[in-house]
Amino acid sequence: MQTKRTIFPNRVLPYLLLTPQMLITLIFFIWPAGQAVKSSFEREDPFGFKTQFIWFQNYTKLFADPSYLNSVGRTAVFAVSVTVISMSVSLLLAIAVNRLLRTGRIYTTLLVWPYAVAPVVAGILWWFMFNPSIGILPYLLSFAGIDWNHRVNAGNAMTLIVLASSWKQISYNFLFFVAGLQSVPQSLSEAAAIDGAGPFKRFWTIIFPLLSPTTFFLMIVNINYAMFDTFGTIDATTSGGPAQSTNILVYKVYSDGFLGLNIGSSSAQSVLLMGIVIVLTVIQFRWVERRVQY
Amino acid sequence: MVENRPWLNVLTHCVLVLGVIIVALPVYLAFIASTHGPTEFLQGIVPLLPGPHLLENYGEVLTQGMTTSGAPPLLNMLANSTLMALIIVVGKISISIISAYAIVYFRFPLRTLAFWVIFITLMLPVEVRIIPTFKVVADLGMLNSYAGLTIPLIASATATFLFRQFFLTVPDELMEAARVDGAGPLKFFRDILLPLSRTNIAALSVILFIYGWIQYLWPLLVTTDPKYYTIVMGIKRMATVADSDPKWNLVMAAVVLAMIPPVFVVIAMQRLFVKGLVETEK
Amino acid sequence: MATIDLVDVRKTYPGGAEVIHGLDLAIADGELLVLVGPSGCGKSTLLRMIAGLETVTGGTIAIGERPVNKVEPADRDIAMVFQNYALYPHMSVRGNLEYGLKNRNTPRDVIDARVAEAAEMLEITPFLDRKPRQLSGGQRQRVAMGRALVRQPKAFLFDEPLSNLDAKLRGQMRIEIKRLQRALKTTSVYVTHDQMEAMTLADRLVVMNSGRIEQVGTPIELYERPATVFVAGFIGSPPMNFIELGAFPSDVQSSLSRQATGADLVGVRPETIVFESPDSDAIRLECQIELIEPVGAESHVHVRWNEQRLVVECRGHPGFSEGQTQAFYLNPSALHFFDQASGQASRAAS
Repeated sequence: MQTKRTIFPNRVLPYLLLTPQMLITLIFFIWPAGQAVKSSFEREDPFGFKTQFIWFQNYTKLFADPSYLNSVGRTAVFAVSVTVISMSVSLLLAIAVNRLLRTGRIYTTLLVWPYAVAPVVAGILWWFMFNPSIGILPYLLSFAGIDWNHRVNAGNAMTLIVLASSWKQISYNFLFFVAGLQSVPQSLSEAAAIDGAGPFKRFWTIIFPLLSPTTFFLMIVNINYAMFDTFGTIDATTSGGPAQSTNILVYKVYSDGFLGLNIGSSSAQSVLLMGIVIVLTVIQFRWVERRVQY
Repeated sequence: MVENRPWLNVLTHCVLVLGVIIVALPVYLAFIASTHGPTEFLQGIVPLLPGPHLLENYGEVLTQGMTTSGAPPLLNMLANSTLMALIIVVGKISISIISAYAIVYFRFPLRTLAFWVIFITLMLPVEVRIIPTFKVVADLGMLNSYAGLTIPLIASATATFLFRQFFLTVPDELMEAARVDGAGPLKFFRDILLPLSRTNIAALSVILFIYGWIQYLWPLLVTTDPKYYTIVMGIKRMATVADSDPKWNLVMAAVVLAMIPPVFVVIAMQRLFVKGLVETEK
Repeated sequence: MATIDLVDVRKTYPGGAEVIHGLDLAIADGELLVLVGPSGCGKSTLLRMIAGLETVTGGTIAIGERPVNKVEPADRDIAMVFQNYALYPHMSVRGNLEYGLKNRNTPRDVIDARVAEAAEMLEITPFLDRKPRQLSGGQRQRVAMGRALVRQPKAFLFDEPLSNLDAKLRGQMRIEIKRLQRALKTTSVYVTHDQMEAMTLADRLVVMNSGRIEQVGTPIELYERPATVFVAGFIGSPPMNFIELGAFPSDVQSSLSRQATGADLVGVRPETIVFESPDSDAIRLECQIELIEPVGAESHVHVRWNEQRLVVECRGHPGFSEGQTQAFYLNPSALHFFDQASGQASRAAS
């Protein structure tokens, strides 16, 4: 690992400098994670007096549990939808802004602020717009013959959380796409124009392939976001319902463990989720390494 | 652009205007709702134009909260949110910058281990270790306290990596010159490195302020005393009862108030914000 | 004022690679000593070891007769000028000059006096309140020098201080450094890879190659009596031509062998090759002219003799044309003789 060519010779100071970070990490990250792993192998009696080591039973039970499998499926649908919708809209907006010179900045300002909106607030905003009795969107949808009610209709509920979550993520993706587009050399576009490629052809054959590192990176980040950062959005809108249709994995850990007090199962779910985060993080950092070599 | 095609320019602006409308619509409707009286929400559809009750609604939520849902006055929650966000900003930056300094400018046994311990925090978001972390905080007696709200959140791999990345770009000779000039490690840090990190610290502060402000799950877990509610979690409590007792005007006033500080920060410091966002992901 | 003495100095990196192989060097008080060599020869490492920025893994370094192996750079009473200047970007020029003195708790009035004096000497007084980024390359270089001057150290260490300047400025600053050093008489060690800079600056030159000293001496000594093939090829521009003894006709071979027994390589300085026939014992080479580079007062004529490419430096502009055949003459007394196996010069057997 890199350091400076010359270093300070002190022996104790570096440890002192690292102490606060290490303490907090050990106490609030690594120890609890270890506890989660430990209790994922245990069963606690209903009164919390006795715990029993039961190997992988919590895990095998999970994989036999239709509600968990349902949650895996719902999470996949949710994450893919959020990623695709949010990234497509952002890319379109980024391309548009990139075409402009001065006015681009104004549009950028008008597009980036939802980053600062808390996921739970985003949830409330869309919940209000989709409110079955007074919301504006159900009112408009009724003209198309759609009877919107996310309290009873699973599809409606999923649509609601997908839209709310995508909406909040647009600004993030937009900024990264703009940065990516700006790093594509203008001369390439010009060369392609001289070669007779029109604007759309130029985009698909030249710019989009060069944008692929950004696209790939955002894909990972968006999946991560959809899986873990949308807790507030779901808690504010559907609370996992109706009938478990929006109970994504991270929400299920919370509702089974914190509300349902099924510690063993919730811990096993936590451990599986950690596995997913680890995989996503490793992919993301592998990609960063590759990008450095360009 | 390479060539000028008028229809393409028109299309560009159409796309962007549409985008801005989509992005702004939910907030516009929320703001409109916050300017009306409670009776507007009993039936029909939400109002689309401003009403006359703006000051009255905001005054009510700020000073009285929503009694029906047990939400305390918003002023108190706004203060808590601000405090929490600021402690997180200062805490995260302080501990990250000194750990990055240790990792880059010193060589010592266990340095690589320390690096990996910090890295691991990236892989353990609070969402996947809710219960055991809650237990630790409870055992330490930190429930319902500002310490409990903030300290567990101030370990940060991203901030440490950002500073590490930046320190690696600082020319080696600067530190060597300082050593020849008689500056020890602490003096070099204070006199040279810290002033050079100003922009990075500022950019990171913007990102971390937003991070701290929009925290939801964590305050939800560690606070049961309304005295410590933050606005983002407080709103959720107000909204939950809005279905049965539709005081949408008050809920939306609270929503708008909860958005103003972080959105203001993003817009006012847009350049730092963009820099912070793009750089923390490197 | 101090001497710097290196005794069997070695540097081994943690990986096990030895980059300085037991090196002895005595630098006299007030001397301007230049370390020169190709990149990677260890000259910068050696300088940084003297500065205390690299640990010494073997031998001793003494400054003013005090061993300093374990002494912090700040306590060695040296000042260093870096290649990229290493100016503190957030401090004004004045702040940069003062920083080292302040850290040593120098009284305010002394600081002010020294800064004023150094600024005057380097003609940077008008820029004292500017930030480094508002200065040109040459001005930054002066500030870096000033930062060393104000300290009034026992020794100045220069690590390629002029490489970031353009050619013209480099020439000017070179003269200025020499003038300053003459005036202050402070012991100085100067590292460069540019042999021209090394020749013009040095009281004494140290040519280094892969962690060893090839030769130490005054610039003229090194130019006239290079001890090794490496030094012969490194010092001088255009570089010395080398011709294997076996390439000469047998009668020439035998007469040359009488000059230096055991030598199998002949070195010829381009400026000693002439095209007007001198006295009788000159060696005649029938050459084909490949390329002519006019460089002003002289021309570099690239020629081919049998399989051998040679460079000839001629005064003015001889009326050659590329492609023509032309006779050139070597003066046997101006030749250098080497042993290829050892790389050492063969002393003339006179």
